[in-house]
Amino acid sequence: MSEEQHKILEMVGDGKISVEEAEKLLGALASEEKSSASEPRKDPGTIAKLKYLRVLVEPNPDNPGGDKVNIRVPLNLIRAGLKLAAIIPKNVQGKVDEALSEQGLDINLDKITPKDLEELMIHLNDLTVDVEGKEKIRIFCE
Amino acid sequence: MMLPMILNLHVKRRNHRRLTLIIPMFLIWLVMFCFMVALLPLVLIAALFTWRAGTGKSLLMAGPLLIILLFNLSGFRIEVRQKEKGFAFVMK
Repeated sequence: MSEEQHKILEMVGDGKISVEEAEKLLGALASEEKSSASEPRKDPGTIAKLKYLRVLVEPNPDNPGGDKVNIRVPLNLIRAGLKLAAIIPKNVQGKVDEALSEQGLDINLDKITPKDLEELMIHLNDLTVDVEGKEKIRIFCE
Repeated sequence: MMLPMILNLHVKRRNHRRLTLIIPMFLIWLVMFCFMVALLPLVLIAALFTWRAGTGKSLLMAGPLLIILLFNLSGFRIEVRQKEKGFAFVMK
């Protein structure tokens, strides 16, 4: 078992992610390992240079009317947001988690640490998801 | 790390002209800074009274963390485009 798979299982054990999310992550990890077996992994020096998390959604050429989405989030903004989320009082945190859960996001914000974010950046080389052939979602750090 | 000074908003709707707004954020930061300074004594008193309940520390930490959050907004961009509609929110 690789270190990443072990980490995902640990996150399930800690209740940070659900079993379904873990399945998706393990699936993505397996396909990522196949496609980027020869690519070098990001070292801490490279991660320090990364500034933005990018999410690009592009419609397939067969579906030209689809949405084009371009999101750029500064990584420091995510780090600061995580720190701010960590100091939210427990009773309010419960309400936030409930609201997120209603939207289909079973995430406990207070359990996500900046270390988790760093690990995500290490393993997120360039993830491309093809949504039913309609559009392609590309997630990467730059 | 620098506070974003300009907010660009672009809205394009079907059968409407494209709307572009350039909002000078530095004016908003000035007003916000005045509010924060004015509210600081109240926050300190509230933190003192709620310290035992455990929320006092969070209240004290929230101010500096909020400032860090605002300082890191530079470069934030959301852009959604369709054939005839579109929206862009860019912090510069």
